[in-house]
Amino acid sequence: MDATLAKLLEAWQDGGLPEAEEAELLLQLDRDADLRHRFAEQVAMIGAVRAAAEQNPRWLALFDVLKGDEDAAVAEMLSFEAATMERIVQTKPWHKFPSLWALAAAVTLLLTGPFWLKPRWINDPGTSAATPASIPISFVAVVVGSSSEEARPAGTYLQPGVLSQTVGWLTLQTLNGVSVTLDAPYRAELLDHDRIRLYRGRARVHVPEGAIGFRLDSPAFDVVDLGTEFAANVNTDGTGTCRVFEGKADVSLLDSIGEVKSTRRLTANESVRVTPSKQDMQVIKEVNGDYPAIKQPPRPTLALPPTYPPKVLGMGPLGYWRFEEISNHEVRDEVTDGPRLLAEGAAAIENESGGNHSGALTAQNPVAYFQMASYTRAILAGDFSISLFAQFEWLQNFALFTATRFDEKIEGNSFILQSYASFRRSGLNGTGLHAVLYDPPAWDGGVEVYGNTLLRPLHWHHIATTRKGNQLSLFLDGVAVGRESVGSMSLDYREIFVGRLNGNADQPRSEARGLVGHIDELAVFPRALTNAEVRELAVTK
Amino acid sequence: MTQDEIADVIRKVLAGNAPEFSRLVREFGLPVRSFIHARVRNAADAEDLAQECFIAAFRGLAKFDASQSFEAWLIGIARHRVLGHFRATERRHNTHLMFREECLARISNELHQFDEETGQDAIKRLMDCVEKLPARVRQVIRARLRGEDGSQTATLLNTTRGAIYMLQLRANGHLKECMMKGAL
Repeated sequence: MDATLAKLLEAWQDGGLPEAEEAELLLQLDRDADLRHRFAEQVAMIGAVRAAAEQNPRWLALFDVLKGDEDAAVAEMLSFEAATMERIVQTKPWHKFPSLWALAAAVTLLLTGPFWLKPRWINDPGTSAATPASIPISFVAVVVGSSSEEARPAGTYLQPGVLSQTVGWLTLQTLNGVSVTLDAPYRAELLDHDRIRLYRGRARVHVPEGAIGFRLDSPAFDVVDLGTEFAANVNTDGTGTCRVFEGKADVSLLDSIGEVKSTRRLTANESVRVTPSKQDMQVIKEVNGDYPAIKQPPRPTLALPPTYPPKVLGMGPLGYWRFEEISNHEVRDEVTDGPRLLAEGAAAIENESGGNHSGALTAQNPVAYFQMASYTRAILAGDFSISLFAQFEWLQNFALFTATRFDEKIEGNSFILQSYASFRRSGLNGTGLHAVLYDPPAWDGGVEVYGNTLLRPLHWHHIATTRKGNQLSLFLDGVAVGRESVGSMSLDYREIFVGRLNGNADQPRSEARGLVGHIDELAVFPRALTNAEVRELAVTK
Repeated sequence: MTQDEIADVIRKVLAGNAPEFSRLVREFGLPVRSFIHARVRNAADAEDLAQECFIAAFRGLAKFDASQSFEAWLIGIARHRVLGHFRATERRHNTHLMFREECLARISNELHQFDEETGQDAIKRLMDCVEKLPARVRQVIRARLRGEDGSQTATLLNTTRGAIYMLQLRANGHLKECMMKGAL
């Protein structure tokens, strides 16, 4: 019995058993009441321990009992009670919302008239994009574009809160890559990086791989995305429609306290109409419906002065790739006899306006990356620097530069430089840069370096990292954003990937952290650049 | 918290004193979170669901029948939320999540019985119980809480993967007994 129970525990927690073995375990659960009882006891205990461990200060206290030293960042996490109450005090009972809001809106419109003809931001903090020095821990989204750049410039980070406009539009991206366009007049509430509530108005939502499960609530229905793109229109009386454009989504009719009454799965080009007064959800036929498109500004081009390439070459790189052309699957290296950089999968070069070209790893192609062929060459031995420009189509965890090792026992990465979005589990909400020496860091004394800063989608960022002795530093747009002592461990690796963790084409893009965006002016140096040199490399026209 | 005390808090909240609701969060936080953590693998998701459960309860407080158990009502909401979560996580594409759901379906009665037996006080005793476990077993629990899987934990403790699950098995058995009786 114990052996079967242990096997069940293994399959329950970690998976990975062959299907036949799992099926046999399920059969035994069907047959054996005592096994069911004992397994339930195990599952319940795992839940109890996890619940106790996740609550501060209980979390810390439990680890104290377990005699472990924990990340100080955990201490900054809000307790469950405080976090819950923080949301509750902002919450109104659902059934009161439409009438109260409609009344308030009517009165306000009568009193203020033309004042409302320009966009208003209910939760406007009165500042532009926050600086790295003043990052609060609750950012969940970033503005990609709006009808009024003056009112809410692209790159402004948003905390949970109410958004409202009477004219125009706003496109935001949550910090796991979901794009949402809100078309005025609308009133919405950004709840988290994976959830938005639409009280009134029109919304279009694009959900990339890795963010599936994004939810749009409205007073009468909610939509849970199961991949790609949908839209919802919500009227002032609570009625509304929802249409799936690509992929699929579950639309649920809700009762007055937000509990699900019924659910319908919609696939591409299917729509429903919801009438809350009748507790009714009907499939409707419509050609395209009156839904907004995802609106965003055009992708900017990277404009560099003509002196940029000679400046890089003057700093003595081992390799320098400008992504001007691909010939025989190879990106030309400006350094004679430098390492070869191969274009793999759908990796391509894209022409930009103004004559620039860049390496394109786009959303349409799940396997696309660059790989350094000369892995036997010591590229990251001792001190080194990596400098590149990157533009993210959306913000997620994207591997930018990875040196991979394969030991007999462990498959892992010797070094990763990546973008990071939504630091919730590290207590560092927001976005930024992240470097790891020896991943996973639990092994071999691996070290992580965070550059807690605010990245912008559809914007060219200069990203650099330097290793000097036992110090590893991260730079964003020429500014040092993170630095840690990483010890003197040497890096051993076999392959280097640019724009993806590895070359495993079977791995989903989100797991392999495949970049969705563009890359340019990649240079690797056999020494640590100075801060001034990094600043020079970050200068654009 | 007695039934009368709960009813009193609910009356105050419904009269507009929203901060009073924190007493209910404090009182029932652990059992609700324990219920959800037992079913949802990802700890962050479990915490989010627990919050949503209390928010739904706050919104629907006027509908609560004071003659019933408040904890059972909360657990009912939590059950809805967990089902909604499974729906949202596209489990059909994840064989491990499918297996977990199959297991949950088979042990739902037993888990329900366990939830009823495990009140707030029992979970509060948990830390005392953990402290009394042998050091090696505590190391296993700690590694699992940090997200390390069976193989990684086995390497850390220089033992086999199978031994880790056996250790966990016994630890959970001891903890359950301890929580129920108040002593190992």
